[in-house]
Amino acid sequence: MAVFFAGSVGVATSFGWTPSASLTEAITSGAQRTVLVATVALGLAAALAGAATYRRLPSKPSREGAFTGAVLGLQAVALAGFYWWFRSGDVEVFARNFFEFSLLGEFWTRFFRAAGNTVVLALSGEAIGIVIGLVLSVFALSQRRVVRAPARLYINFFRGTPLLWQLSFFFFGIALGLRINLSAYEVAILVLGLNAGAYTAEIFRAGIQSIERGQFEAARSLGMGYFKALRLVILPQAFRRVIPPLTNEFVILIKDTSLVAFLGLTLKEQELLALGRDIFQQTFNSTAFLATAAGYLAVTLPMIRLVNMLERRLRSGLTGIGA
Amino acid sequence: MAVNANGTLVRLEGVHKWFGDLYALRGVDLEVRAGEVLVVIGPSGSGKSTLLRTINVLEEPTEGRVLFEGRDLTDVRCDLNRARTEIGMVFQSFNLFPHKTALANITLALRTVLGLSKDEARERALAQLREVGLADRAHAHPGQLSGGQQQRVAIARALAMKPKLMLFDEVTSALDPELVKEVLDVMKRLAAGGMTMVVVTHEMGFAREVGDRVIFMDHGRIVEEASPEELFEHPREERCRQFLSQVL
Repeated sequence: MAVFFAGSVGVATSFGWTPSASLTEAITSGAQRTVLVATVALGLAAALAGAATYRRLPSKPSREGAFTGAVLGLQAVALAGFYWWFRSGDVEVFARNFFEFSLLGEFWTRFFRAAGNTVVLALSGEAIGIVIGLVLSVFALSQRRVVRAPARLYINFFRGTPLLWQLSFFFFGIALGLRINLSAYEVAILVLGLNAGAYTAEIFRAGIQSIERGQFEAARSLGMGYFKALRLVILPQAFRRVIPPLTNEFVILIKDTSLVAFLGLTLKEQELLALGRDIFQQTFNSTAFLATAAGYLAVTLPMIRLVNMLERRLRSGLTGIGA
Repeated sequence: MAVNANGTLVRLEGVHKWFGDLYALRGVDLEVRAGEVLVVIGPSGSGKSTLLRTINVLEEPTEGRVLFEGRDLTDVRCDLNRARTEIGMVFQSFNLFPHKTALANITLALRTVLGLSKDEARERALAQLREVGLADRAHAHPGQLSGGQQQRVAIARALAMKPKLMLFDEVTSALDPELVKEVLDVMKRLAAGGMTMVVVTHEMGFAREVGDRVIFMDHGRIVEEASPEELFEHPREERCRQFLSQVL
């Protein structure tokens, strides 16, 4: 336990404690230097103590404690080393480039609108994608080649070409080129949906195929038709199984909305990356990019959590499905 | 058990089945009379299950006809889904719907296929569960039931449709030995109640006790057909003798 504690202290001190108000001053201060030296020393001590005692400890938990302490000690040393290297450079320039949050003050309202736009693009894209994917996956599983072929063609086309190409082609090529009255934003939602549809179709197809054949046979033997069996027996089970890959796809979609920035959106339509680029061009300061990343994480992390919770709830409601 | 001679329920005429290169059924003619218990035995790969599955056309015959109450089920104009509501089937691997409770497993087809009201379906399902001795597990999911209990729910699910014919496809093969009896007991009661049954099984004791007629299959053909006493005591065919000497 003592070993574990020493390791934790080492890590905590190297991060948590900044004795001065100004960031630059704090990083380069003498006190920080003392802390760093202490961190390296403590970390090394923890690592050595942990490694030395590991085999001689009496119980499994205490051995685990020693192992954890040793690893934390090594991590503390590594981080302190990196930090040392960093503070020996020009900290002043770094802080001005990445941490000048005062510059962002005037952009707050636009930032929230951009975050909202990112969410709208991702959600509507996913909604369209799920509908398309569901239909396509059923077509792709048909026994009949004439039904299967068009679905495969669609899926392969949208999976085989870059999303940026699709966005450019549909907006510049089709919407502008053929003078169809659609804004970049509307085209973006459409293309994101079409693209997500191809990936979602593959996810659903795998999900449906993972359900044992006997389920379908049992449903048919009770007099259900093909689509009734699919709807009432196969899809409810398949849907539970595809929640993890579907989440994964959705998180990728959220990030892919950033490609829309290249279509030239109006101020109101701007999503996070477009806004970040805009701010950078006005201020020549990279803090905007950090804020944008925070914006994406603020959307993606809760989303991942939410869907994980949903997955657990669905799983707990039934036994004998999936892992 | 006496055979009720009130007509033919199922007639298979010259049924052949190919699975790609595999010749599974090589011209099978068979009649199942109403009220009889027909037991199908034979070595694995002999086509017993395929034969059973052609009766409700889960396997479509490559050639030949399947008549159920005189209707040709292989005819595309035949309403196969309707016919299947009258033919119950129980599988080796239970095939209960794992996302639904025992009760909901039974009510699903009652509601969506037969169109019963919620209350009617519920009542009929509960009555059927009582019949197989599982009324107290109505709200359990299949994963919370033992193999024997799952198989009894599966039987109840098929029976709730009030079928005229029940097909059993090696329904005790996936069960632990101590769970076999509870399932066989349900089937015996069903047979005693006069249900027409076609049973593919490796349970020779059951075949002998409950079967009205036994057929022995090998290499996609019906090799021998007789009453249980005759077939088990005095098998005529050499292959049948060999098979019985290995399993008895």
